[in-house]
Amino acid sequence: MLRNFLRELNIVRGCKEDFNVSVWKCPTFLFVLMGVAVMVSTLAAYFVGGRFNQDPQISALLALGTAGVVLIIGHIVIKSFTKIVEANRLKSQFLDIISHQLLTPLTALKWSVSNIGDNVDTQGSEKQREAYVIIKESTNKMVNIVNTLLDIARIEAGRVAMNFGRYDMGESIKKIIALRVHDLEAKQSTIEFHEDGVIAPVVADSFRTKLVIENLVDNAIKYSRDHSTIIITLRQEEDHVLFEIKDKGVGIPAHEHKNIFQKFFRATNEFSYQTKGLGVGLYLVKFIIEASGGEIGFESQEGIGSRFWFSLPVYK
Amino acid sequence: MKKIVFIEDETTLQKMLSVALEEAGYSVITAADGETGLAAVRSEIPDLVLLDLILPKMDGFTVLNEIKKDETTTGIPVIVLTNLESAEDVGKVVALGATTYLVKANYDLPDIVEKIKEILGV
Repeated sequence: MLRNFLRELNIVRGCKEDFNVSVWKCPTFLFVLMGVAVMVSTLAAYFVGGRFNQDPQISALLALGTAGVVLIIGHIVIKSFTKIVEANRLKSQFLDIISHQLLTPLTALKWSVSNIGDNVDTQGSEKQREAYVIIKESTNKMVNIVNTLLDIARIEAGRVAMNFGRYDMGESIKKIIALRVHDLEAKQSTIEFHEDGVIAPVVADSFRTKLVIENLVDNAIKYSRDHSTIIITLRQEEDHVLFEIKDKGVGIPAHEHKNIFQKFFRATNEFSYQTKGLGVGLYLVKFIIEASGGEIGFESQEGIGSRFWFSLPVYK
Repeated sequence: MKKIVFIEDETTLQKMLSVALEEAGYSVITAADGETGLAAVRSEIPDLVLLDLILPKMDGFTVLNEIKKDETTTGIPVIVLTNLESAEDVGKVVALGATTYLVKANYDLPDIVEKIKEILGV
């Protein structure tokens, strides 16, 4: 707590991390400077006023000078705020344009891959089938990265539109697991998928919910130990369907549990294993589940593993 | 044979989806800009319009608006096929009367053909 308070007092760090501008253009520093100017001039007015109380002109000039200084600093503060807002707007716009520009060739790639799929499956050699799976996996990963970045930009701008409909989670999970063959082979790990009885479809944005499951599956693969088994369970509890994924892996240190769903979060112990990924996955996952009327949670123990779960309402 | 007017300026995407739709048994008329597309809708009176939003000469929103305000074309279902997905864009498209919108990059080609079949019948 004290550490956080002292951290807050470090204006130079704040200017660099929060606003990414020099101290002379930083609103926090300029506000402090303005406060100091007002305090100094008040004290000066008190002393000068006490010494030259026969000459009110000096006090008046001092007050006028102070007002001028405060006005100039205020002007610089407003200008720097405007610059920061503009830079932010340009950053979002840039991200938007780049992502859309990337999506067009990626769509062509994705469609072409799905077009040749049947031929490769029936007539291709083993080598061609293997290459096909790699191209398909990589294309889907690229589409997901671009969509994740676009969704983050949309969440920040309050512009996310959820496209709700009927969604069969079981079918989707099977397809997702089938596309992770190479990642699982690389770790010599396996995924077990259990469905507890007949599971009803849910109400969800099918593409985004798929992204949620993919994120949780990819995290489980990334952070589990080699030669381990990841267990996915799907079960229906009254009016909702519960998804659960358990891994035996690095786990998340207890003191970092509160930050897990924050944007760009990475557990400090993660680097000993992997550093891939944008670090925005769980932030987006939580947003999507909550925007779909569901709940999400996890339990994790460092060195033992993690269990992530979410629920979604049944489609009626 | 049911007729589809497909308005899309990206020639690669236009060609791929047209071929897939023709293989599925539909007749496809393509247009690479909004103006030509709207003219094709008015002259052909198709069973379905597939419409991109970012288009040269006339954007997809205007094309959709024109289709929906003309009583000879207002009943034609319009599927918006786009990579734009912000709440404003979706809201605008729904308000203008589109049957549905599909985000191109989120679907494989056979999935899009399936969606079209659902709306149009084989």
